[in-house]
Amino acid sequence: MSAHQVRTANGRAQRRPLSPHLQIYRPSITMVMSILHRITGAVLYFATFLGVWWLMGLASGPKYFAYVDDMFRSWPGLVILFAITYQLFHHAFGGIRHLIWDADFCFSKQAAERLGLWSLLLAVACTALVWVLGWWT
Amino acid sequence: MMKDNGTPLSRQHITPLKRARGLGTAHDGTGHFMAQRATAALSFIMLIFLAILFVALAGADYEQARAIIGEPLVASALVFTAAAFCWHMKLGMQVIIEDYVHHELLKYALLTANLLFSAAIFFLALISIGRVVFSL
Ligand code: HEM
Repeated sequence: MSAHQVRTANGRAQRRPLSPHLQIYRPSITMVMSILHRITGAVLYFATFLGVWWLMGLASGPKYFAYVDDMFRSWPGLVILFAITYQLFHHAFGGIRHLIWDADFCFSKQAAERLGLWSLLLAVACTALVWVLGWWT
Repeated sequence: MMKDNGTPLSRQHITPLKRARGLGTAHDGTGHFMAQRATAALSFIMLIFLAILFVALAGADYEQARAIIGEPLVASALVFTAAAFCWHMKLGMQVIIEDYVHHELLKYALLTANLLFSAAIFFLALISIGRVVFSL
């Protein structure tokens, strides 16, 4: 893992050290949040199609709307919707964290870690709030 | 190019951002960076609206949902949300593609697909919302 077989210019095989890669490091909250920001961004990218699909259903009349709406209100549908809600809030608060850093705040190790924790808590809280409100109204 | 090296920032007549603009291999990296931030901030504001709309629609049937989405203010805000999200996600996916895809042809194919997908999502949202609004 720490060495890599290469061929030198004169054709000889040689083992050379690799620079440390991801699996070398102990995971930290800042690192995990950074990876999750990219993953959630990519998931949300494709999830926009679900929102548009619902809107297309609404636009095309009661019959097709009932089909689409039933899909979303089925158990698998609700689970997917819930997961997307969480990812949206996770990415949004993670994004705010990026904007805070871009404005040159909270760069110390402690502040960055606290920021990561806060964005996580806020994402969980907002997801819970939206679903509790949605369920009981 | 950096002839003002060593001059205190307060004595330079251009900001570091101004100097960076237009530099870099693609000549528009700073613009991309700023647009990503601007659309992120817009998206965050629109997310508050979207969360409220989501709760309002949770218990709505077909007629009620059409009445809510058909409201001009709601429809406009939703179109704005779609614009902010689609622009932001186009920029974001572009960065992901540029980071991981190094085969030139494949990269440009994916960058084009990214633009088409993001635009398609926006136009589908726009047309669907428009159809609900104008059929009331
Ligand atoms: C709602 C508020 C949102 C905020 C505040 C936000 C913020 C951000 C920021 C600051 C970045 C740049 C991160 C970096 O440079 O590493 C980013 C990247 C990205 N965002 Fe968002 N975003 C939001 C919503 C969305 C939505 C709705 C989508 C998709 C539909 C999305 C998709 C992406 C993608 C694909 C990236 C690229 C990820 C990467 O480069 O690692 N974002 N976001």
